[in-house]
Amino acid sequence: MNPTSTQRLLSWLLTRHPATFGRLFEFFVVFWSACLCTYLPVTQLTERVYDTPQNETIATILHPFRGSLLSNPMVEIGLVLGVWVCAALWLCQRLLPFSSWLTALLFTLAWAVRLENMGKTIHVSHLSALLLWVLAWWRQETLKEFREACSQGQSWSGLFYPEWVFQSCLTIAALFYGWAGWSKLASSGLDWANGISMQLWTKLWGNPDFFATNWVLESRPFTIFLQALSLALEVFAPLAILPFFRTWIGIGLIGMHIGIVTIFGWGFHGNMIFVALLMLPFRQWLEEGRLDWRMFWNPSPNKIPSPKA
Amino acid sequence: MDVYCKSPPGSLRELILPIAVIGLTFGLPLTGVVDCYPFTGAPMFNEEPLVYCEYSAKDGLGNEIPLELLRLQRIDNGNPPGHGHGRKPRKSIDRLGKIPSVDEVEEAVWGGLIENRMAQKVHGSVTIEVQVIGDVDGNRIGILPEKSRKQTVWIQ
Repeated sequence: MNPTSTQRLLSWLLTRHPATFGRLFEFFVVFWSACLCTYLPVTQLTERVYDTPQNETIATILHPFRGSLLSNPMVEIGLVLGVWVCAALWLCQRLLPFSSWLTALLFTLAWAVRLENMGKTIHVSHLSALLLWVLAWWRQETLKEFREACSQGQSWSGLFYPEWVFQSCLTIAALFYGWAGWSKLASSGLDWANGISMQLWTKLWGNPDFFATNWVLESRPFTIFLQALSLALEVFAPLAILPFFRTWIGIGLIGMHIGIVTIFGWGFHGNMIFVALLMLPFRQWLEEGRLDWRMFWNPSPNKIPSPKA
Repeated sequence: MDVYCKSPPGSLRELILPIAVIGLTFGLPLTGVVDCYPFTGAPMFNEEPLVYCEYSAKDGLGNEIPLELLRLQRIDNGNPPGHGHGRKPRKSIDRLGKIPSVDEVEEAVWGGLIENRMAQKVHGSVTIEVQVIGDVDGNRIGILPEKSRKQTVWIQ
């Protein structure tokens, strides 16, 4: 990459846009993260294990601090309460940037404490945690401009959305799914899509009353097709950073998530919304004024400023 | 994208955290660390099991015994064990893709009975039914009679 193209890339990443999409995405990430934390107190008695030895391998960033304090259930509950308070403050635009940093930190710690005290793992909160950190950094870096606009009574029109925020969130989501595909290839190769394994998982954990569950259990060719499609989508998910592939990969991953959520009921609803917002053209529609999410509670067209005003 | 912008562009400092997060998301799994929350190599369902076992257990009088007491309970949730959790799971021989031998089942049952002080309460024996679920006809899965079995562990 020659210096000119590097400069152009950096200049593009640092370009600021109106935060129409950024506000919407921020709302969903913060709101979903707060919702996801309700899982922790609800499952505290069923998911945590107290009486087994510690695992030897690294599980979380809290690995060096494993010990009695982390196994105290009140620590987890305190962290969850902290997430709820800080997320509410963040969504109300209060105490920034502390509320955003604390939401990211407490959310990460709450789930790290849980995983440190589990005998198995789940992957529903990883993407949310990483996105929270990027969004907290965004609010930190644009705080001065936002405060100036607030002091002039133009809080929202003074919040800007640097290109790097969108590109970072998109890349992180794309890599998360990319790793899901690459780890399947590394562990099982192309044989992963044999159809039998998916039928076994569906028999074990699928919703028996859902019609698609029976389709999976009754047809091996259909199951092989679904597995092969999922593998291809995940392996090539990082191509979503290129606009040409983004929408198609987004549609595919959303379809995969609809299948996972409806058949298995696992808590990837938030990830599905993040993929939809990042990979479908919502940002373009919002920034070009073709879609205005404020119309849902402020339908008067006179009150919606044009993006070029 | 032609959009309105009145703010001056930011500084390179803004890219520090995104580059660090993206670098760790991509790079950490390459070092062999499969899971270090919040970073992950996303190993969920990366295996390709072809069978799994369903267990049921009864004592000498025909009463059902909870599988947790015999180390036969389900602990596999599709994530490869050993990664991403700070504690070991409760002991069990459950593992998707594996059919335990007669000796392995007997060892698990004895281990569970001793650990839970149940040996005197099972009325002389524990009968384990191991149903193996796998491919039955190239199109569906079901119980494989030729691989399923019943075995009795005598308690003296």
